[in-house]
Amino acid sequence: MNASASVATDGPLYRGDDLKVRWKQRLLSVMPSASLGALLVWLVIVPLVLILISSFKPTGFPMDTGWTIDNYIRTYADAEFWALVLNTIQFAVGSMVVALTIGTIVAWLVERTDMPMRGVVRVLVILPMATPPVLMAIGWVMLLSPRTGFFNDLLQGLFGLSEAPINIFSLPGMIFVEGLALVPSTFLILSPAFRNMDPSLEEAAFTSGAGLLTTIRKVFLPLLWPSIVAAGVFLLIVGFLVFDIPGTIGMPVGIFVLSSQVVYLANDSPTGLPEYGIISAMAIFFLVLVISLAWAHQRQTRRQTSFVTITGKGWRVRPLPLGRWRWIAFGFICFYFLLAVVAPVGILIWSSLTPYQAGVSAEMLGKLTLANHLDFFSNRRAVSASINSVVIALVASTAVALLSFLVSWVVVRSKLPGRKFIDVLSFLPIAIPGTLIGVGLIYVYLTLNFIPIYGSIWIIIVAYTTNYLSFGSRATHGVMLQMHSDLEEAARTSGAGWFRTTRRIVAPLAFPAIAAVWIWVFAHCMRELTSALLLKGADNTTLPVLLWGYWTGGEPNKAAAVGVWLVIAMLLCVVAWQILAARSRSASGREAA
Amino acid sequence: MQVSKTVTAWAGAAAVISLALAGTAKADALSELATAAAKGPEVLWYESSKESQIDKVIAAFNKKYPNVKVKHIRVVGGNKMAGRVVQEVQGRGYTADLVSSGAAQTWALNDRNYLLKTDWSKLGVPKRVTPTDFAVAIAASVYVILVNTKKVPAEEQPKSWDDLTKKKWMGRIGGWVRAGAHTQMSKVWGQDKAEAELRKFVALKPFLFKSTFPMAQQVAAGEVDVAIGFFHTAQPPISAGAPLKRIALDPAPMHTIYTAVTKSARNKAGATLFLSWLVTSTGAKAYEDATNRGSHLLEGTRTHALVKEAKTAEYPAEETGTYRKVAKKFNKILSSAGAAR
Repeated sequence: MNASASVATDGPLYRGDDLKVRWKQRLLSVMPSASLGALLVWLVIVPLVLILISSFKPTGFPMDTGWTIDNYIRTYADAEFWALVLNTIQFAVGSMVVALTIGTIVAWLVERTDMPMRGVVRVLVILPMATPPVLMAIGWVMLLSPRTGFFNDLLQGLFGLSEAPINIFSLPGMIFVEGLALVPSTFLILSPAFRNMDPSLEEAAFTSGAGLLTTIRKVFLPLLWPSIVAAGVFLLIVGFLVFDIPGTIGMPVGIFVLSSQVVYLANDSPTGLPEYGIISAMAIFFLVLVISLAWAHQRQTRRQTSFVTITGKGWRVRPLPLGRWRWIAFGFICFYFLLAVVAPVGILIWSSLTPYQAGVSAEMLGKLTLANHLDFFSNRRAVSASINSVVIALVASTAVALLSFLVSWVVVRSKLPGRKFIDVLSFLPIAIPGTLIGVGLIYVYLTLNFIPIYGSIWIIIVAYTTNYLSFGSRATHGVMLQMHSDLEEAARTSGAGWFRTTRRIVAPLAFPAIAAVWIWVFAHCMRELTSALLLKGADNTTLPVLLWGYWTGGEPNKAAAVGVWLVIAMLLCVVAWQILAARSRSASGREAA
Repeated sequence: MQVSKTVTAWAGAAAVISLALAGTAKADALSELATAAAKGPEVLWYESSKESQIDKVIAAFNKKYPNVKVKHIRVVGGNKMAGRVVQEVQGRGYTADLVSSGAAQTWALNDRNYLLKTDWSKLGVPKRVTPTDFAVAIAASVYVILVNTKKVPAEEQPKSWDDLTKKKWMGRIGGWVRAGAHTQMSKVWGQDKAEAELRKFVALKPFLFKSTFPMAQQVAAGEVDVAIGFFHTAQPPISAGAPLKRIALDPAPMHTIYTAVTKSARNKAGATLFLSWLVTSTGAKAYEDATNRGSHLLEGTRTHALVKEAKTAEYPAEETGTYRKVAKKFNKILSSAGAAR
């Protein structure tokens, strides 16, 4: 049974050759994908068209006169561009490998093994996501800089070294920090996939005498392939576009990547105006890259049944006993936490307590102050920015979670026409630099002033929904691919309509992924800066914009204080999420019983 | 002799009368502006300083003109601000009433015919701050040497451009990732010497910072011992007690900040009035006290005192095109600092 039929069976089943009825049926069958497609076209295609127009404009402003291909010539005929591409590839691939390796191991240990304190790990693992990347980068500079880095001082003191053993200002340094920063995202993509994997498969492998490595190679990796590819593609693109870490760690020593060039062209070009034409021409490169990766991803996951692990057969996750490896695994997690959470958050707290930027030293202990935190709570703009940020994050994360679920259902579970188009549409925004999404939206909502959202929080919500849909849909795709169609067919055979089947079968099974998307988008909305800065009006300032204000205004310690409270807010949010998830699981258990 | 005395007396009287008349005319003009401004909507001002700083400037303005409301929106990054103005004018037909930015941005907006031309002399605005009729120079970002006083003892601290290129600063010096200082110095030194000095700087393998505020903080933290930065960016860490010191450069490169009234302003009278006030001694002091960026052209400011003994280096506004070309070339040279590392 295909999905179009499933849509029709919600109402009475029409038969006969009545033309009207057949048209109505056809209309109903295309309605879901058509409405979703229309929404995505509005969110994605409109800014994309503006970017395309911009790339052919001499000034880069879409409403200016004249046409040219000069932006493409200046971009792609420049050897410097390709040198930057090479740097960027090294950075992006390196970060992806680090994040995928650590993220996969952490997700497996948390979801599939009997490692101690898994619940706590699940909560804490995504905390670094709440730390604004620029603060994380500066934190790592304070920890691993060859001149003033805390760890370097420590190692030099302990081992009597004459020179600092680690230099954060290097390509490996950038990869290390970006890789660590991307682990929470990897975990959130892979964790639901691990959770939904039928344990009988790995048990069968072990029973048949396969070792751990063979089981990983022959069972885990093939089953998790869609999610791993989705995570890999996502991480690769993020690595191509991210600026904070290359800007803070690479730029001081002259390691430039493509995003450095985008920032230069937008902010520092001596022409006095942003060079949107060149940026747009560069964005076309990202678009081609993303479309190629999306196509490769589609080819990889074409044989959908290969990845199905959620079937009608009931099972319970039985954690794999690690035996004597249990505490070694826990030690690995502790080490990861030391690097990814304790060190950067610790340095963030330290910075928030110092009156000016200073390394960790006994001398500074006497100067520590709560002034930066008190300033945060007594500042009316901080209160207003906090409210704006929370509202934006709540609405955008809910919108992305819902849209991602619908997109994945249409693309993966249905046979609706246009689903491949919807798949590509949902993935394209990742290729658009935040600056250009902002530029596109400004034009759209300034021109269509009957939608009065310019300068309000709603234009930021639209930007975030567009921007984060790529991550959301990739994360939910993986889980949808794991579900066997038997489940929905059984429900429909029992008389359930599309809505009921979705509500009772598909949504609960996809819930871990949807919740992961929600929390990921929430965290990223709370810290996103580029679009918020560009779309800033009089009354829509967000916390990251406030934080950026402190940072660029020479008050990094106040920025760190905001960062500390962002981490605390995120911690509370994740704990609440875990409690709700646990209640939901126990309620489902009772219902099933 | 008698005639001469009479002529002198008459001339003096005429001068006094014309000054008085001019003063009266100015007072009348400002009074008319204030009346018209109070009837208009609030004046919207795009500027890059923190909101909390500009609150103080607006409060000082409202002491004199309590009925004229000014609303400040912080837009960081001159190019982005100019881009936003272009988009708003194209999209909805109007933008902010006042726009504060650098020469490159202001002239780019004027090239698009977005800026209002005003006879500033009628409002008593000094000629030296109005190089053109569409923009007023309100302040300047002046380059200075920043030194970490803990890392560099007084006798070793650099005091001149020559001191800054000594080999002892190899790997210990910092700078802005854009070659603004050397570009402006080319106006005084000539392009060849400025380029040679820039190459000496690059050979020192400097740490390059995206923004000059964090750079000042990094000097305070000891990440680099010395840097070429802006006077105003060092103020926050200095106020917080950091071991940071500013040393004036001679010649001192700088970037003037201009403010312009837009043609699409919805309260042109209010914008013009506010801008006229901003370059009075009260306005200039309020702005400098709040933002640490003052006018080198107006006596009584700290910035004026800082550079009055030194030669300043800056392309005049009308040579903005040349500045752009040199800046592009010099930025490229500076970006090779990575290859030298």
